[in-house]
Amino acid sequence: MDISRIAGSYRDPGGNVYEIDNHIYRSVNSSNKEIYETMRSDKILERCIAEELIIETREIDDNSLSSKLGAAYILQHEKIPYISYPYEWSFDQLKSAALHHIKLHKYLLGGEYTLSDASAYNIQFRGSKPVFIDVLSIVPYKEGSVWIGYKQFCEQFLNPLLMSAYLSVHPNNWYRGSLEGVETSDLLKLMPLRHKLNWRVFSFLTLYNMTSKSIARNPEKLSDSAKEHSTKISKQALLSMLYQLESWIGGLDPIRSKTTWGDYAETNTYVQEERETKKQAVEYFTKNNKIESLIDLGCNTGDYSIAALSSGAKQVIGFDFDHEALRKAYHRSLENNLNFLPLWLDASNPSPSQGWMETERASFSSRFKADGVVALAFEHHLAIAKNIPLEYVISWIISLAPKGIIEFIPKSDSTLKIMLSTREDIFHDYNIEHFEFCIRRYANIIQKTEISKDGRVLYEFQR
Amino acid sequence: MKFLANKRSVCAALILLFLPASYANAYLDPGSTSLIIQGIIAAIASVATIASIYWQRLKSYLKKMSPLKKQEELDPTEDDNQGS
Repeated sequence: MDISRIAGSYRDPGGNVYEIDNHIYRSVNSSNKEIYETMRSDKILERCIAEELIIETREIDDNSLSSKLGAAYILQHEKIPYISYPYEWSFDQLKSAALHHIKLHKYLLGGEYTLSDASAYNIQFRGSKPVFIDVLSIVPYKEGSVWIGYKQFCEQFLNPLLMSAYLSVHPNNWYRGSLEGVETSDLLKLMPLRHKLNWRVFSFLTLYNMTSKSIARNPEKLSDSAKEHSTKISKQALLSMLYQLESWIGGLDPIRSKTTWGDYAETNTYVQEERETKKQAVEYFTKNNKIESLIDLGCNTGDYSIAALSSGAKQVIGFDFDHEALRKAYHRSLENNLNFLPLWLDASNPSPSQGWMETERASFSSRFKADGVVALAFEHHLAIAKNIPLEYVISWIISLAPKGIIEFIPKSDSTLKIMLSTREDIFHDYNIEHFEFCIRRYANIIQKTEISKDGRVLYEFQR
Repeated sequence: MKFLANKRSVCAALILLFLPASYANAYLDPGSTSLIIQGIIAAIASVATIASIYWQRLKSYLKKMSPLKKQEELDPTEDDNQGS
């Protein structure tokens, strides 16, 4: 039995998450025994699962495992096949996650329970829908208790969304660096005055920030105050706060700008016929190889991801750099209830392993492996736009899955011509012969399909 | 609707709010700020929520009133045969 504790699960003394033989288990330690028994008799977890608020969870009876882990109880969780982090989500996904968190919190308060924290990492995506995974942060509610997770909610959910909506800056790079979201004091320093005059910004953020600063300057005043006048918030007041945040976040939209690739599916240099050929190639590849999980690099609005799903793929993870395209892809996934999760990725700088001990948050390559990978209209973004040698680009794509399709974009292609128009052409090795040579170094070429007259070619490979 | 069980905590929060603040270098667990200021934030949120409930009621009342008024103005003799 190979027991490995999930590296990101260490802070909670109440229990940890483990992966054993491809199953996910959570230990409930003796310190949390009574709380868990109360939850069990109230059937609060079952009710949340029925409402699709939290992941499937059941208690299992395994004395040897409980003694191995030193736990009072063992819970088994449904496994989320692909773990993603808030810094890989597009605006709508973070908004979806925030609203889901609030929905869960409101539901719990109705049943005399509450959440002990508000970490965005407690939400994962099952297909395209958010789901809460940290069941140990569900605790009994004590009337009057303050919302412990308030600061975390603001920093990890609200502030990054406001950064997109009010500052028109995508928070992903910042979020990946800080891991804990965007601090209120930082956001307020950057926020335009017209938004600072918004009563909600003032109430939820500015007041908090002012108090923070004065406490830091006068810490003695805090301990006197905290001891004598501990704040009590009634359940109605807490629900009002949640309601206001829900309506604020629900109305947020990022400032829309015409991004380079957002309208790609409608305006690109392709002819309808070429798109059909590519679509058929993906469908054939998926059916023929019985692909169950697929990675779509440069998924754009998800045309080929959706083609794969309709040809038998069970799950597709799409990656793109363009936020507008990702929004459209995510909307399509939600509208059609697809098992398609489009995520934000800068392929030249994928998420590394980081956090405590540099392992708390796992790297891109350790989380995203699939049966197949398609990289259509993609390689030139790395090979030309980012100056990465063709061989490295191809070996990276091939490392993601044992089988796949890579499209070669020739220099005669109009998109590439634009890319090269303002710079010196230093890419003397960039041609179809060298491309094929690079693929052959790492895999076999199963099939070659010409897509267009100007030289775009699809290569199906197998390691 | 009870929204503040403790008036003294509001005073404490207000005092802290207006203490002279300059660039803070001292490290303090900032989570404690939540405990102090939430009383005020919750109060504001509660007022806003109550206000929006009354606003919704007013809006639905006005909606109910206006189409009936227009109907009367157009055809004062016609029977109201719009069943629910």
